[in-house]
Amino acid sequence: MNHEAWMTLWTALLVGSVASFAVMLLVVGAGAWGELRDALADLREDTRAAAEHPEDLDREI
Amino acid sequence: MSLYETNFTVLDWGIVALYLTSSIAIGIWANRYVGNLSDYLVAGRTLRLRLALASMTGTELGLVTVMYMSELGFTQQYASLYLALLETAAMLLFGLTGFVVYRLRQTAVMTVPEFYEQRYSQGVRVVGGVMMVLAGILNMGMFLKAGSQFLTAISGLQDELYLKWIMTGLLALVLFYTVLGGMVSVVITDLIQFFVLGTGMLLIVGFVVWNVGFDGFSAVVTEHRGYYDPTSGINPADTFMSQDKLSGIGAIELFKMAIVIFSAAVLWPTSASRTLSVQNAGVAQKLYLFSTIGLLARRAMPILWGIGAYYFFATHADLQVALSDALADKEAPLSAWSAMPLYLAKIIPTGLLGLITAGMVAAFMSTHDSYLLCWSSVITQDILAPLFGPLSQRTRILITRMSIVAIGAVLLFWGLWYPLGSDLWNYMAITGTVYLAGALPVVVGGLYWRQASSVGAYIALFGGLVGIGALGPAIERLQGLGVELDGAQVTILTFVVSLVGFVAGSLLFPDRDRQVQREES
Repeated sequence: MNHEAWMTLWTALLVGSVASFAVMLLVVGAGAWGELRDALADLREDTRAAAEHPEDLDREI
Repeated sequence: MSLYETNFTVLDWGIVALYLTSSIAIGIWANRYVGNLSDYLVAGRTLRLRLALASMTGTELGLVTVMYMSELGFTQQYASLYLALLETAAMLLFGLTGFVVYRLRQTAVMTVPEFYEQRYSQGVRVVGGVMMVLAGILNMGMFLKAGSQFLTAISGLQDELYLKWIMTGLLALVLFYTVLGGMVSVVITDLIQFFVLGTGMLLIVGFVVWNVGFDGFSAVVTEHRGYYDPTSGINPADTFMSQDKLSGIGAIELFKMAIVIFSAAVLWPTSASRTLSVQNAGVAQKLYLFSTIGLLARRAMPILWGIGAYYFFATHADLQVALSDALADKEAPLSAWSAMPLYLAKIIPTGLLGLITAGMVAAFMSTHDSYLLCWSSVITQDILAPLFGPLSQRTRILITRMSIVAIGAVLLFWGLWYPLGSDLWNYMAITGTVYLAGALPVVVGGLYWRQASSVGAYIALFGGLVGIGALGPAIERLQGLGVELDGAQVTILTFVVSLVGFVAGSLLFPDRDRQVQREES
């Protein structure tokens, strides 16, 4: 590959990485907080179950 | 302008301190969501795609990654982007095909060594766990030092003792919230760190492009002899750095890095642990596909900053001489890693510099928390529980917490207070190889090859130890004995030894119970 071909490849990679990362930041930002709320709701079920049956935590596995 | 001149002020320290305080609050708050062992180790497998994506990006985009990539951008300019290209290809391959990722998540294990027991034997699990922890802690050895060098250069602080205490404090903070909330803390803090870090990175790109200009990026190659062709083994860059910092790449190095990066992309324990934390195998595969973006950014963007630093020093004669002298002075608290933060400290204004430093501290913490939790969960689940079990969930959580503190103490002594060399990227690749060379055949063979056996797995895992021979002192000893091998060749040899050993061991010593099952079926 000659100089121009290498520099075209690297420029495309750099521009692509910055642009795609900016888009990802927006897309993840739009939905991740809602997903965190759902995950914490699921985890709350576990903590409730653990509080109701503390003996489960002491059972050997 | 002096080499250490910086726009970093008390205001910037204040912004960093505010950010750190919020992390303590999150650690305390997240503890209420830990009900059982699964919650502590894999956040109860509740992660959806976007949350897992933010967490995985936060983990894999660490300050140490930023430092070694920007160092490569500074020393090898555009040519170093071959690493970004390789990693992108690897992530796309695994994300599109689901190779390894899909089947591994289907096994429902919580750690990679747990899969070793499911597929091979308990002994393989323990040996695999030990190898993973050994390689992982070795790999983390440079993290604190890289963080310390970043803060030294960006803040202008030159008192090394003072910096060591700051880094000790940062590590203590990470230990605090990770011990309390486990993976729940890690995921929540990773999400916040993802936004702080991501915004900071885009801001830096903006400042670097504005400072260098498009003509400047072109002049790096046309006027300042920048390196752009990685297939060439000769680095033509300007010689204001010592020649040992200007190593070329070439075919053998490309081949070595292709093996390391492809195997790390699918099997590096912290990535694997995030894969094992998601809801199902389909989400795991999608996570890999979309992680391509974050992992491309973690390599390409810091390289861009490193190229900016190269252009900046190449076009400022006074600073070029000062940097050259500092790099040659073994007593100076600087290395080629420092070029990027020294540069940023001069072009980014006060206030924003604090925000960006908070982003980099976020990168430091989000990697440390996941790594600490990953290695300590392996110690509990894959080494101590098989050897001394059965253990209750409460005991396992306690041991994991104690392991986190113990690993933190080891890192503190070894990584910060004990003097280490400074060839950062090679050090990371070599220590990673100790684990990856063994894990690659054992996991891939275990998932896709019916004849894979425990003896083969043992040989492959122990074969990874050959990788230690690629570290600088070991190479010097080998060459003293008349063995003319360099680090890249020893790394490739390690993968070959593990693979050949695995195949030969499996064919010569098949697992009897599996053989009986095969004959019956």
